[in-house]
Amino acid sequence: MIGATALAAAPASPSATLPRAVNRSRAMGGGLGVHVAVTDDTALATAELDAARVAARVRAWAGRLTRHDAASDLMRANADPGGAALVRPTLAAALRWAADAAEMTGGIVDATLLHERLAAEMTAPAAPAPGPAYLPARPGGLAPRPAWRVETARHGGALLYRDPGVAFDLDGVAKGWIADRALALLDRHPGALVDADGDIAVRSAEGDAWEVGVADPRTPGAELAVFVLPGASLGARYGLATSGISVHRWAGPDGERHHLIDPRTGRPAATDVVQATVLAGSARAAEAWAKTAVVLGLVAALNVLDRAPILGAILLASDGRVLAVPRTTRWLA
Amino acid sequence: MPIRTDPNPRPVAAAPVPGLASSPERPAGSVAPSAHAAPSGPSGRPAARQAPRRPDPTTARLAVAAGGIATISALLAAIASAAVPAGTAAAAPTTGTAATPGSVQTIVKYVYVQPGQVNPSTGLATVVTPPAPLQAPAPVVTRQSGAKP
Repeated sequence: MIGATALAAAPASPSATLPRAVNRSRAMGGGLGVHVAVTDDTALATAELDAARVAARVRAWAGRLTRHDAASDLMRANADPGGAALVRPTLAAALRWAADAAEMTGGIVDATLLHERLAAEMTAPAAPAPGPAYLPARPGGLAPRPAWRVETARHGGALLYRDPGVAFDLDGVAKGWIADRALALLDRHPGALVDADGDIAVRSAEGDAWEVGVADPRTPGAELAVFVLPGASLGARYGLATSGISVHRWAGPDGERHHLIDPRTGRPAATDVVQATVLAGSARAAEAWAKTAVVLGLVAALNVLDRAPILGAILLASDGRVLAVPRTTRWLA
Repeated sequence: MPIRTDPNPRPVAAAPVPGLASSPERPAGSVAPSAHAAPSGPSGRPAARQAPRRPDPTTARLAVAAGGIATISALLAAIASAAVPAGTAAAAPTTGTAATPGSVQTIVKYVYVQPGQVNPSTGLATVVTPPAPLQAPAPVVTRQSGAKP
């Protein structure tokens, strides 16, 4: 989705020392912000142009990976009934990350849950989910999870092999991946931040810092906490992502439903975590761990996050408590 | 900011301790060959001078091995206790499931981010130190996808 684009100098936060150029627009069903830190005001015009170019690239990538457009690369691959489908480089790279994320999280992050998600979104009583006509039907049974792999082909593309009926939903997986990829396009600037609808990739310059708040879903405009992400001599990279069940939520015939599917049950996760925010070394990793935390539930999430390769995590529990993995406090304002 | 622990720690199967396999020591009562044993003559008869009888070294070797195992065990125990952050011990669960004999407790560590929050009544009864108040709203915010700013 393409919306209005606005260029403006960002308001300086208490930790920021460098001037910023900002490009705000809409993409992926939400807000897209590309922020560039420059050494002085004379570089602002160039930074604004670069920010606009990166925003355009993000919208192009998102258009290839969305499940909401039957003409996207993703949905054309989903509609292909064959065992092997030729896919273009962007989709191939996103799918490779999806495979890595599944392995990293023990299968909790699963990009093959499109049928289950569509079933959850149906308001009719549960039962077989036929899905849109352009999707092949998945054979019955949830376990074991279907197999698929991506192999490199000629001309930068790849071949996608999968079990019959496997259909992909790259929703959150793609947002974190896109944020990281977009940040890499801004390497010539001292620092940058790409906000892909809440999944954020950050590179901080030495002597500078970015501040990122964690939205409180219970009160518009309120924040649960604020992260301060300082720079380092060789550049410091961070990723922040938030996953939760309080926004995409609706009433179903058997109670409330939400969009985060537990691959172990094929149904919306039964969880006492309303929202999880993770700080990691990349946005894609942060997104994967945040989703894992919500699906697992509070105690298991704290246990897993304490050992995960992340920098911190903040969880909002269904009883209103706001908990953090202990090492998180180092990064809080 | 206090560190809390899971009010319901769950037992986990005890893992075998590596490095405690039986050592390839010589069986008790066996005799070690000695470089100072009395040489035999060409005819097989003992030489004229007998070497002095030495004490059996097996006992000494067993004692050294036992001491080594005890030292390693003490080191492992010290490392394990040092891995628990300071402050956690003071917040050890006062309620919850007792550990099964022979099992290891998994302690889930967390801190409260906002002031005034406490564990549920079924959990710990502890004093919460309010953290510093939140700063002004940040210009960039991470939120759930699709959430309105």
